[in-house]
Amino acid sequence: MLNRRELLRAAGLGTAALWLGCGRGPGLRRPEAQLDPDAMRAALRDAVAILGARLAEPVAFAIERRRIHAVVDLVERAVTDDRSHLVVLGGRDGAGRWQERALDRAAPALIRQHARELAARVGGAPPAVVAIGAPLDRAMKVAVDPATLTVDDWQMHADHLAVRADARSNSRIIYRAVYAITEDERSWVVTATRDRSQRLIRTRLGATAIAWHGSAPVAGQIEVAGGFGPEFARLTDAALAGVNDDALALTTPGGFTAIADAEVVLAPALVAAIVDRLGAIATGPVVAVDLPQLTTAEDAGYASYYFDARGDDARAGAPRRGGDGRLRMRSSNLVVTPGAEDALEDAVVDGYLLDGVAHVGGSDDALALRVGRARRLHKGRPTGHAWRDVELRGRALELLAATTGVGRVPTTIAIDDDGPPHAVVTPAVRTRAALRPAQRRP
Amino acid sequence: MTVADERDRLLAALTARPELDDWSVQVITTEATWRGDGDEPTAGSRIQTALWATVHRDLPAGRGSASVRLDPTRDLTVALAEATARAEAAVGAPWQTPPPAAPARVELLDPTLGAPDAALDAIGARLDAARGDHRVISVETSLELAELELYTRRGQRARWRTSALAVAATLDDAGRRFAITAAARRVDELGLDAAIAQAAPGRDRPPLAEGSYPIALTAAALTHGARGLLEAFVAQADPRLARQGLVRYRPGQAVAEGAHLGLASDGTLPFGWLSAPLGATGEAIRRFALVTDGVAAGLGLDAREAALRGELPNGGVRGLVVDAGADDDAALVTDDTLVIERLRWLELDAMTGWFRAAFDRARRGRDPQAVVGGGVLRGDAIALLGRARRGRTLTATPWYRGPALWHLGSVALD
Repeated sequence: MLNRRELLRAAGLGTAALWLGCGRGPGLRRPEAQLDPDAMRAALRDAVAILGARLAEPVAFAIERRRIHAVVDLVERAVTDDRSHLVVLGGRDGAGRWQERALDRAAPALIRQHARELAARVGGAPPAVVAIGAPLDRAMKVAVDPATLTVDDWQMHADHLAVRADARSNSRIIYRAVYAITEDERSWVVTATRDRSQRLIRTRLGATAIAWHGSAPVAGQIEVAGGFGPEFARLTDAALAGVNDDALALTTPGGFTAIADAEVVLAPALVAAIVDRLGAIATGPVVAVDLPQLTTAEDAGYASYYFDARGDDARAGAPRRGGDGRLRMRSSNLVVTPGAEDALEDAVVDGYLLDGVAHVGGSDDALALRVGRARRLHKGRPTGHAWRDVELRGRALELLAATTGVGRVPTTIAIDDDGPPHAVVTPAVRTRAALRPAQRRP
Repeated sequence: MTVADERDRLLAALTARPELDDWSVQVITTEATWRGDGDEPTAGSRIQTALWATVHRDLPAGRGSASVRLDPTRDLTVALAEATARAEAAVGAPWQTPPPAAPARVELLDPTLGAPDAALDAIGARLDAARGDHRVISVETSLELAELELYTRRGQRARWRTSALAVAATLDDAGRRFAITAAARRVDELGLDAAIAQAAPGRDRPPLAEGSYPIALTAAALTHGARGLLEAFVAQADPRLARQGLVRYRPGQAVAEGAHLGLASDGTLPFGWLSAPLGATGEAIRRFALVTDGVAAGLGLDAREAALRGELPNGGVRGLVVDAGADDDAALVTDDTLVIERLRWLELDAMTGWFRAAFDRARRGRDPQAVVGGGVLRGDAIALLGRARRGRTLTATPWYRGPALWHLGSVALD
């Protein structure tokens, strides 16, 4: 009997274990008491005053992140509510070196104590002029505020989502999961001149279905992500039905034959994997820009913010790189400029529609991307032939430079399982690539 | 409230809950110091504390367990009540915690380390000595000192300290930049000379033509910064997967046809990355055989798995120790052998042993000047390593003790 983690892995959904919380027992937790904003603000202002006596550009930053995670699947029906904290105190010493101290506890007394220790240990700069301005509080506006939901509300919404996901299914679906992850983040930053706080909210709603095909499980999945609250209706019935259809779709017997130069349409998830590797770029018709600022549109970006950890306003542009070429700060919303085409497949005479990312191999610009499914296209129409475990290989920049079409409708792909919030917002693109069988099994 | 106060409150609260049939507490306090030199010099320290409690409830249907992480903002009473409820909702087969074991004697703190700043200076000096003609564009060094404490309901009390050093640098090789990373528990084991020599790009060479090639891997390529291809055997020895028949490994049977590998887990290797005196819930950590002369031997057993099987726990698979081979390293390499010293990336399906791994260049035969381009290897790691001819010369990393050179035989390359 396969367990859930193995089933997800075998279906090419290795990362699914992260958002489904594999390995946790069932749990039901209540929200914990949150930090007192006034006490936090006072402690950070005191810390800046202390640091400013011996460090230039003093800054005190604190973040409280509440993460609510609701999941329903065959094994688990649970809501967890976790809270984590980080405080960073910093400034520039007499030699011009940026000095920091970070702690995972946000007690006001501890913040003041560490500010004193840091200033005593690494000072040497002339005293900074500390004239902190009036507090400025910013908060993202969302249709559903996660703070208004009880644990029971979360469970009810997740249960309802599971019912909707099951509505257009059949007995060949052997596994199903639905999940919602909302992060409610409050941060404060105080510098010699500023005192700011912001509240950011982001959500990922998703569903996975797995059907057995011969000796191998096949998955379908969908995720909707963005700067919104727990709005479960954003995962529509049609999208949930598509998950079932993908899991049930049959694959063509026999192996995939390598093609040195194929016309391909890359679904947004694949474009996101490639663009994420490169960062902000402009190559051929593909232009990707970091857009951290909150938009005035209906939805803020998934990883948007008002200001960064040093209190500077969010600004669009290329992520800052150091002299070594490495990114100094991870991009927030890496946005690919949409094109004008509604259906990229229409212009494909003989090619493939690639969807799903099973594994991103390679390093730097060299890609070896194992694709979840490759569907054959002929004269703009799917022929019905489909293969799993096809590998796309090449140079990421060359792949994007060869783009012949960019779709009109962007999709937000959240990529933050291993770090801070981060997303690529991209439509599908049409390009040319080398495809080969991944030879999944020895 | 200090961490000691929080710990004492937690221990008192656990002791006051008679419904808990067993529990353990782990306290990890970490102070990391780092320094970055490049276009913007930085330095800093990070202090983290983690208090974990694992609780067990023995009910008529079996034993349920749950873990909870405590921090000062959480109400201790509520957190333990929830953990208890979760344990009661997660009941599995009945088992009893094995008898307390004496902690293994293992060195994990580099005794030569001085103050953190001096330690970072020492790492910087090592990098400076190792870089040769390469210019350092940027470097970040860090030292992490951790204190781990363990308490169990049965009165076990243990405390130990660890050190972990890391380097991440970007260097210049005649106008081409390349990055290296290294991590170890002590300065002497960072291996910066080898890391730089292996990562320096050199001149471009065309990739090898698709086909099968006789391949030899150095230990650095095989382990790929940790356990690398050998990770396939780690998954094979997972008792949960083995019980469900999800792995190829069957104790008492050959891991592959013609295999003659000898492989053991040792969680007590001095300065080993995965070494520890005790496991996270107080279980013993012992050396045990994973594969003996090509035949699957033991499984990695934590307290629960050991109890369910009526055996003693061994702490799971940790550092890997491989028997020396019968061949001189020179005899392993013939004129057509491709010797790979570094993998660029590795993808391993640990349950099946299938892998693909890219390399940028290889040396053909014994001539160090006969360097050819790279490619992507594919194959069955379990079969290839099980049958591999191993060199007699041994080497050591924080994750591995074993032959410095492995000849895998013919491997598919594209």
